[in-house]
Amino acid sequence: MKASSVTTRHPIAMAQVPIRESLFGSGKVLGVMYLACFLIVALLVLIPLLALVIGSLRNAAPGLPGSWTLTNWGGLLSRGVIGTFATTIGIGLASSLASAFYGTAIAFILHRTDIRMARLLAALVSLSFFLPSFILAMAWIIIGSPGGLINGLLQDVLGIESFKVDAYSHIGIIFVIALHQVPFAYLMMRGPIIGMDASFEEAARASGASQLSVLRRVTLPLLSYSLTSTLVLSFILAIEQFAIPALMGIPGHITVLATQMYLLVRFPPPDYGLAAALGLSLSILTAFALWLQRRIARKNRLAVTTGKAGKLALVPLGRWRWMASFFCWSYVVLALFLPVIILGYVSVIKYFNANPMEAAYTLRNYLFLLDSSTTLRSFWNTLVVSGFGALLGVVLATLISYFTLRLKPPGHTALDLLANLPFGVPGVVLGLGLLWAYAYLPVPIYGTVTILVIAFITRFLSYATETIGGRLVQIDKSLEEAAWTAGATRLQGIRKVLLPLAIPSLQGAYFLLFMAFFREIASAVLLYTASSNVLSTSIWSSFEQANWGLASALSLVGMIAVFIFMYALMLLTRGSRKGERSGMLPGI
Amino acid sequence: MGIHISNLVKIYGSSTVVNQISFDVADGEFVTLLGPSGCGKTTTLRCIAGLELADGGTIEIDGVAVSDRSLGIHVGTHERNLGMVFQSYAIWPHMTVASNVAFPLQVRGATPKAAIDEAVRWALNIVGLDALAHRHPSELSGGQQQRVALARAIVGKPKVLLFDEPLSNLDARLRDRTRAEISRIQKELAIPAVYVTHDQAEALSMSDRVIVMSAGVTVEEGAPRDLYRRPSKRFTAEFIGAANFLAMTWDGQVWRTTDGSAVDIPADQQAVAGEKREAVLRCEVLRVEPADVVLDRMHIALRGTVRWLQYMGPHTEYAIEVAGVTIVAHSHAEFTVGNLVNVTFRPQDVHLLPANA
Repeated sequence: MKASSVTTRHPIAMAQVPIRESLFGSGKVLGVMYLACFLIVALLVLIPLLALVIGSLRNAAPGLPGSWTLTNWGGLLSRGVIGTFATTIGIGLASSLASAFYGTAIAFILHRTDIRMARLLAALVSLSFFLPSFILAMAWIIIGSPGGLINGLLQDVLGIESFKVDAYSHIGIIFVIALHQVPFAYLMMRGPIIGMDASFEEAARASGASQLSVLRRVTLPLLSYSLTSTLVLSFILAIEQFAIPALMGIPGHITVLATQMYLLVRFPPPDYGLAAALGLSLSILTAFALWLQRRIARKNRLAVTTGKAGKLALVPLGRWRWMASFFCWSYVVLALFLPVIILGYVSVIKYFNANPMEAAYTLRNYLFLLDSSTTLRSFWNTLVVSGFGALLGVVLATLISYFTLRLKPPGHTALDLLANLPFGVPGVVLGLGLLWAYAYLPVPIYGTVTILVIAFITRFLSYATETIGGRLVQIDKSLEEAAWTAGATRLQGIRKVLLPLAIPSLQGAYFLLFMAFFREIASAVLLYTASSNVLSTSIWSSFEQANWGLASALSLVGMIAVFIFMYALMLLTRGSRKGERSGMLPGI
Repeated sequence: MGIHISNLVKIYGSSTVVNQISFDVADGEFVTLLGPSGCGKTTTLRCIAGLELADGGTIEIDGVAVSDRSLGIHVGTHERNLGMVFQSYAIWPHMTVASNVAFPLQVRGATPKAAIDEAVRWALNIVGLDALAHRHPSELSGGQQQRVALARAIVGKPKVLLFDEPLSNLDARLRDRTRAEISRIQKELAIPAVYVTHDQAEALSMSDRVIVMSAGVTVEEGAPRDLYRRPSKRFTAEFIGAANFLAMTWDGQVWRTTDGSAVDIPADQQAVAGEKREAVLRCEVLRVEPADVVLDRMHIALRGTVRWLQYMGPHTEYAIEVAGVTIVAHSHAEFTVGNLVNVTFRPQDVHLLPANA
């Protein structure tokens, strides 16, 4: 403890008995809970990472005898791998630039101009955040692949042979990743744009600046840190993106790091060692970018300290309004309406036909869903993994947040670091780490839903701690202290004061984890088996077997089920969340 | 029994925030810790509450040692039997007024339900909030929240009441009223109280005794009147009220100001010839008069020029240059900058600081 080491320097306190160590000082129960929480987090995070490090130094597949080697790391220098690095970074840069630009522009138009139906648009853009990446990719493959909708229309309906589109291309991948990440950029930029202190702009206008120069010389520079931070985070999400480059890149022989790992493990001859080395280097890349983002975010706090947010003046669009509307609506159409309509169409036709007038309609995909025990089981598994797993995640995240932000016992910074570490580990990499680890460890969970729950909690723990922690720091310390002075123990203070006040953020975190678990594919793709299929992996494997109709039907039914479930949950808890920000996104 | 604190030490990193503070609070006594921000007054209070772990010294509440590093004693906050009012009020927003006030009794578990209801009614009645028992804190004004905090602090009949700048978030008018209210309630209940503030008006008006603190140590303590009129430290005179400091020299017979005027200070303030001291002159005891007015023999007059003035409403604040020194005086008379004036005062209003002030 810091205080006691300093005490020895002070003449008064010299040579006195050191007071109780503060780990158990606030009660045995909390001390034990802290140790347990620390242990669980350490096991969750360190096991897959250590397994990867060890795996990258072995020359055999997980679980098989082998010897130590550096070949895997040497393999990184091969021309193919370097090319993959270049492709990954190129696609990451292009798609993150595009999504940050679109997301920021949409946030600005919706919240700072007099565009019509701003609330509806904001809700739709936020909604598209929850459309899983693999479903979006599927829809766009159906639309834009060589045998897909656009080409079908061009050829069969319009008779144009000379022009073809190809979704299995760099442009296609960048386009869909960007579409997928626009809501993320929008949600990241919305806070700073809405929360900006109005007096900055008012001061500029009072100094005689025109609307345009206020925007150019005050507003945008003030947002530049948030923008940079958004850009870096979008880049991280883009380079660790798995489903989109897997579905759209593998057919066209475009590999990024995440998909190359997958190919190395899934297709013969497998090279687990090289995959581990690749995964670790991808993690290092994302960790570096994350470190950069944290530095920027810290500077940002110093730069723009917003006081009380006044009423920000809306920019009148005038005759540009139709362009702004077109801009925002075209996003919603491309990212939400069109994919959902296409999936709906494909799910009710017998054979793929670009012309809906000539298609043969059927309900067999939906009937199959009801009949098939595998799909029913995957629904059940999803409920267990998302419903129950998210609950476990929220409990763990609540404990972590309390310990790292409130109690601060010895070692709490290490706990904080551990809990945040997986954010820099791409999903496929985490999956590979767990694959390695549980091939060695005498715990028979490989191929069960348990390992999926472990993978998902580990991967998204920091989302939940950010949401809950963000609320905890807002609850004034004196509220808890007042409980203690009134005679409450630490545990009573937590139960009667802290938890009731933090409940909205716990609900927000549960909501967030539930959706994240439901739409997660990257970390599951190396871990699922037929018996542990969840919805995302079922959709994935149907699509891999080129069963577009079944994959589409599953996607639609799954999404509708999840939205009904979440809506019911929201209705149930609405009373207590009145006026609270739902905390949809971790405020990274 | 009250509170007994001796040689309290609290260290943060390399800075000693509280450096061997000692004081007692007798049963029913109201003691205020007064000082500028960062002087260690709040930390001292939080050590009494057990919210901070003291690094040295002992704290006894009602005859029981609750903190003593040398014996390894640190009684938890919840076992110290306190009532505390926080600067932010810390009213729990998810509970009604009544449940906020009932909390200290409920959480200790020893009181039957009917007795709790009775005690809550009693406490709310004392602070005058009976009618609002079922409101939620968000429906209350700042002043009302303040009263809820007070009711919550007294409901359990604690051994000691602690106040951490409880009035600093109220507007001026409400502050005056609440000040009187807190004093009255504390006197009625006769619970020893420690009150922390940086506001001299609160300290002077409410306290039986004021402890002036600076940089982690006690500067001076005493009854409000004594501290104001006869401070023994320059810091006290500067921090409480508005004061001028005049350099005085003892010429063997009489104290003289730098411009040579003799100031007939009562005889107990004598010293060796040539000794220099500082005299405290409160701004409100000074009178400002036209330079040509015939002087009253009972008054001492210093001739000066008005350099600067500020109209304050009840009085005008004048900065008057007298023999190279600027004296600030509060007066009802009207002058303008550049006027030649006499600054006059009675000898008994001059307080000579001790040599080591």
